[in-house]
Amino acid sequence: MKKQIDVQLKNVQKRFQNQVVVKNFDLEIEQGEFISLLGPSGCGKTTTLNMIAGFLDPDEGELLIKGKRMNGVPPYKRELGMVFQTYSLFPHMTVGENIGYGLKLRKVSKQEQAERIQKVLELVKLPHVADRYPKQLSGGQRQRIAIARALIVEPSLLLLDEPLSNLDAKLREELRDELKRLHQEIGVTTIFVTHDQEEALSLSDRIVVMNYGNIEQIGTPYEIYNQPKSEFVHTFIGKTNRLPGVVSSIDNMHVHVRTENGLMIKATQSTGNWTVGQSVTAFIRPEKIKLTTQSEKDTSDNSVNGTLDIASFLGAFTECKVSVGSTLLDVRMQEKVWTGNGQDGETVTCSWSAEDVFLMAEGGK
Amino acid sequence: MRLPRFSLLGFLTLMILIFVNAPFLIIVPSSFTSAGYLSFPPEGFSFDWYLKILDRPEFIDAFFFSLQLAAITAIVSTLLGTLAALALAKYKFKGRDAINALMLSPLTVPSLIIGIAALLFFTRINLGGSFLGLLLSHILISIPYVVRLVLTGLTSFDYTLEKAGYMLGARPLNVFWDITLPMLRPAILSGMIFSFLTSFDNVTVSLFMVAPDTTTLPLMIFNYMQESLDPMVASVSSVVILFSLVFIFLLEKVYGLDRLFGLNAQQH
Repeated sequence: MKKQIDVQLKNVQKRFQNQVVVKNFDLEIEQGEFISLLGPSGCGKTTTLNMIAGFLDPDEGELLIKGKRMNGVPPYKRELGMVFQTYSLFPHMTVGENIGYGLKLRKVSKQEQAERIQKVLELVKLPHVADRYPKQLSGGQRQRIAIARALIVEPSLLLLDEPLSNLDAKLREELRDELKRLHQEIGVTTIFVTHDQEEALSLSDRIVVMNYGNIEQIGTPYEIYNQPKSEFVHTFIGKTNRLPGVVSSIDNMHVHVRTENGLMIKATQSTGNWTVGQSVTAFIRPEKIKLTTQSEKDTSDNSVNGTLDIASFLGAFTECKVSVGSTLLDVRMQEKVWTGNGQDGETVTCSWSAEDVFLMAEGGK
Repeated sequence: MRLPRFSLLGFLTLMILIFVNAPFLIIVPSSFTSAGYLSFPPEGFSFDWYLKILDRPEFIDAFFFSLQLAAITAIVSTLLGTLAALALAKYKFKGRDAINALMLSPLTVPSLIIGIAALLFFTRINLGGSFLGLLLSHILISIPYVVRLVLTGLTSFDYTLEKAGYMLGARPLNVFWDITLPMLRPAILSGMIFSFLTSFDNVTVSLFMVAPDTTTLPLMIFNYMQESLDPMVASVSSVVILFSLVFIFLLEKVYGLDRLFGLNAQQH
């Protein structure tokens, strides 16, 4: 059964002065979906969110929420919930008054207000703070209250504008898990704006990667990470080794690429139509490269010898930089699996599978 | 912090405090004199000159008249000044800088000149010597204080709070009443007090705008002093000082001066 479409953006455009900040934006969001708008600052993700919220109006195109055209409808008539980066709790109201404000505006009875406030406070696991003022709460608690305030009116759509960015690392992760749990519990359609790829990958059903006002790719976190459709997506999400070169030959198994620095790389044929002599860029994720000592026998598609320049132990993994000729490769090892002692200057072998090489035509998508 | 027994800072602070309060320190004791002329230090002690106020109902009338005038001035200029400041802070429009400068010009133009200008203008439109003319001229000189103070309050105002209100379904008027206004209350209230005191104290502009039946207290004292310099000037002034002290004391009790002037800045 096809799911109901909650939000539709049809060819939406937004200009500020003469600059187009959102171009030909087409997106359909299903009911209950958790969707992230991900991109660097200035990519248009916040502008898009503000158009959905109603603070900005598209210059062109149509915005539909639950099938109703929303162009020109003010934010207070859209029945949405929004959580801001700066928490934005009303400092002159208690936590209870903050959360109840939306209900008060909707003329809900005092008794029902109290009941629903208590219920939503329990939902965000802060049942005893209704009488406190926001400034008496920690950042993480404030953001939970802000989420509660947005959810209590049972919005048709929950908009999250970088809600985790003001929190320190540990709290951020905690609240991220909390958001995931809340979404699973309530199932409200959620649009999440972030520049943090980890947040987007861990929370989303689908991610919209944006750059310079364009949609670069829409896909599940897995697709975005493993099957990027553009160089931007590949380099923005996760770390990668970027190796520009030329297709030197093609056989029935592999595309052979000679990089600018003279490295020969084999990639699988299936990634596209390639011709000999074509300029391409090969990408290899650091965690896809295996590091071994030279004495070990290796049967990988690609195998090169190099010198270990730096090995930085970072707890869960070790980040290495390996010089192969004049090429510097980033390698991420989950644990120390090779028999060498990991000292700088040691000779090592880097190997990786042809499947893990991601080829992209020069300048193209 | 404990100051050393003698420091330049401590000395300067003391001198400034004495200097600022000198008028009170002279006027209040002088009002209790038993002599028939103004002198310092006072000669003897009596309440004579306080009792004499009761024989001059025109002083009491002028006091209540000034009070009314200052109250209406404060209310109207707070209303207009707050709205003007909101417009100046929130919207970009043509001539915004010019209006901003104009709003503050009564602060920079000497009030004597404002007085003459007001006299010429209000006489031309048949409001010379009327209560309305006097009120309008007082509003004119009070508005800059409100505009300045509210604008200052708005510089630290977080506009996403308004956005949060809209998202919860609040209409613009709800957002203004429930969110913007309460958060600007300290700035607006201090603007109101400043405009009240500006009107209550004013001599130079009133000088040109009053008629015999609309004389303010400061002007009454001013005129009285030109005729005779007896200690009643001191006793009337002391009553005014007492009144101001009570006003400030009540404000402190009810609201807290530190909160009012944002001295104890709230973190949010």
